[in-house]
Amino acid sequence: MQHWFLSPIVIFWSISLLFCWTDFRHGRREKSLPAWLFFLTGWITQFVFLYMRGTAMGRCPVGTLAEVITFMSWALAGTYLILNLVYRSNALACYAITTTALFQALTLFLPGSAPGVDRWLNSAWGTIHAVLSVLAYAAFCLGALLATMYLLKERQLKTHQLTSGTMTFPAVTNLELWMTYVVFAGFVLFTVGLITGFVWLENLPPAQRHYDYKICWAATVWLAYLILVLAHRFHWLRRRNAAWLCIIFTALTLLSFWGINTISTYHKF
Amino acid sequence: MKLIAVGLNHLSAPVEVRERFAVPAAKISEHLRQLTGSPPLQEAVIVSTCNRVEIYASSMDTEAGAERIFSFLQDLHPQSPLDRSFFYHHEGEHAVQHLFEVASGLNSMVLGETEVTGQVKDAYQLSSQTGCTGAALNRLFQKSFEAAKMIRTTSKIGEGSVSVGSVAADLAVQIFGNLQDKKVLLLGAGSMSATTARALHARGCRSIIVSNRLHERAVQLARELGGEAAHFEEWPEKFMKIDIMITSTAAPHPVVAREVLEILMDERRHRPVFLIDIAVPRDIERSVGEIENVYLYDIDDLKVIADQNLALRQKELIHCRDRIHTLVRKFMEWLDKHPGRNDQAFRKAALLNKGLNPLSP
Repeated sequence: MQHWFLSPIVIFWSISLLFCWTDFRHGRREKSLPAWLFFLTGWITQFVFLYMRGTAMGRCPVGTLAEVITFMSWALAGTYLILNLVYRSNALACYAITTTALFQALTLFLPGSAPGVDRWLNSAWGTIHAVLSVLAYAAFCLGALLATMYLLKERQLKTHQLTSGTMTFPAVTNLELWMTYVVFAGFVLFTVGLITGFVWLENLPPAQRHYDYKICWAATVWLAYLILVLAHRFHWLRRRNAAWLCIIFTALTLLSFWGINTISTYHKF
Repeated sequence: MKLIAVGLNHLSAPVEVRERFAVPAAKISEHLRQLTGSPPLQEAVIVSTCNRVEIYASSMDTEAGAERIFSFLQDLHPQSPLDRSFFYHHEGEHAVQHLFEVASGLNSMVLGETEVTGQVKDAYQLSSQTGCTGAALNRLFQKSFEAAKMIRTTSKIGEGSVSVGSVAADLAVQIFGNLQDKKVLLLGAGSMSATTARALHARGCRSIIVSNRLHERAVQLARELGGEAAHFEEWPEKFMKIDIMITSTAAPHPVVAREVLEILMDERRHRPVFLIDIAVPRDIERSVGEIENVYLYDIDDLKVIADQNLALRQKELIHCRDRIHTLVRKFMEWLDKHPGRNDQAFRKAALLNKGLNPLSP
C-alpha cells in the first residue's frame, strides 16, 4: 500500500541527476543546491516509506525484494550524503545518484505486496540477521563503486589523461583506502549477520529446519570476501587487482542474489 | 566627472623600465597628495606591483588630468625624458574596463591569478586612508572588487595551474590528497626542482630530503627549503620512506633504471610514489611509469598540462571580458547620473577628519 511512495523517490533523484548533469556540462565542479535538495528530499521520502511500511507490517521493512532494495539504496544514499559533507564533487554526485536511482527504479517493476519472508521476521534474530545482511550488501556495493572510481582515476593518472570530472574525485590513495575500509566493514557486518542467522536457525523448532541452498551461497560469498580482505591486508594482492576483485565479487553476489533466493527455503521473496 | 588610467605593465614595458617607475609603498601617500593637491586631478589611486605601475584618477578635464599624471611620472625621474611609448592611457569607459580587468586578473602575466585583487585592494585602501578618493573612485574600486569576485566564482579563468611547479603540486594532491605528512626527495639540486619543491611545500609538504652529487649544494638547498641533506648514493635507501621524488640531475643517462625501481617498489610493498622528472636528458627511464603504483611525469608531460590549462584560461578570457563589459556599462550609467560633483571639498573634509593637513605636500 505504501508502494506508490517509491515513484516520487525515483522522480526526485532523476531531477537531482538532471541538475548535476547540467552543472557538469557547464563545467561547474561543485554540486548545486537544487541537486542536493532534491536528493535529500528523495532520501527522506525513502525513510518515510520504510517507516510506514515497517509500521504497517509490524516488522522491519526487509521482507520483500522491493523493501530489501529500497533499504539497501537508502543505506547507500545515506553514506553518500555523509561523504558529500567532505567532497562536494559534482562528478561524485552524478555517479552516486545514478547508482542509487537505478536501484530504486528497479523496485518500481517489483510487486508491492509479494509474498516475502514475513513469517521469519517475527523473530528478533531473524530481523537482525536480515538487516545486517542487507547493510553488508550495501557496503559491498559502495566498496565496488569506490573501486570503480579508483580504477578510473588511477588509469587516467598513469596515462596522463586526467579529465576535469575525475579531478573532482577524492585522491586516488584515499579512494583505495576508503574502499578497503568499506569492504572490511561490509565483511564484519556480513559475518555478524551470518552468525545471527545461525542463531535464528538454531532457535527454530526441529520440524521447521531445512537444508537451505542460500546458506552454502552465503558461506561462499563470506569466504570470497575473507580471502579479499586478507589478501589486501597482507599485500598478497596488488591494489588494482584488489579493486577489480571487489567489483567482480559484488557483481557476482548481486547477480546470484535473486537466483539463489528462488531456490532458498527461508529467503524466498 | 571623468576617469583616467595611465600606466605601464609587463605587456607595454620591459622590466628595466617597470622597476624605474615602481613606487615604494612608503612613498605612495606622499605622491598621492602631490597628485591631488591641486587641480586638475580630484581623486587618485596608485597601483604599484612588480608587473605594473598604474595611476587611476578622476578629473573634470581628462586631457589636463592625463598631462598632470605624465608630468608627475616625469618628476619621478627628472634626469631622463619620459618615453611615453611605454605607457598606456585610457579614459572613461576604457579606463573602467581596464581596472575591472586588472582587478580580476585578466590583465596579469599569469592569466587569472588572484593575488592582484589583493594588491589593488591595498592600493585603494591606502588612497582612501590618505583621503585621496571621492565618490567616483570609491564606487569604481568597489565595483572592480565585485567584478573580480564575479569572475572568480562564475568563470573557469582561475582553474588549473599554468606553471610546471604548480601542475606537479596539483598532481600530487590528486594522488595523495593531503600532502602534510608526505615526504619529498629531491634528486639533484637544480633551480627547477627547487621551484617544484617550493610549490609542494606551499601545499603542505614539510619533510624534504635533498640528495645531490655535490653535497655542499644539497646542504645549501636543504637549508633553504627547511629540509635535510643526504649523500647522492643514499637515495635508494631514502626512497623507501618517501612519497614524491623530483629528479633534476645533470647526468647524461638515466639515473633511475626500471630494474632498480622494481626492486625498490617490491621492498616498499608497492606503496604509491609520484616521480617528477624535470631533467633534460631525462633521469628516469620512461618504462618506469609502467610499474604499478608509480606515477611518472616528465617535464614535457607537465608542460603539456600547463599549456592545456593556459589555453582553457585564454578561451575563457573572451567570456570574462563580455561579463565585465556588462558591469562597466552599469557603472558608466551610474557615473552619467552623478556628473560634475567637485570632490575637492569632500576630499579635504576627509583629510581633516583624519587629522591630516590637506595642503601638505
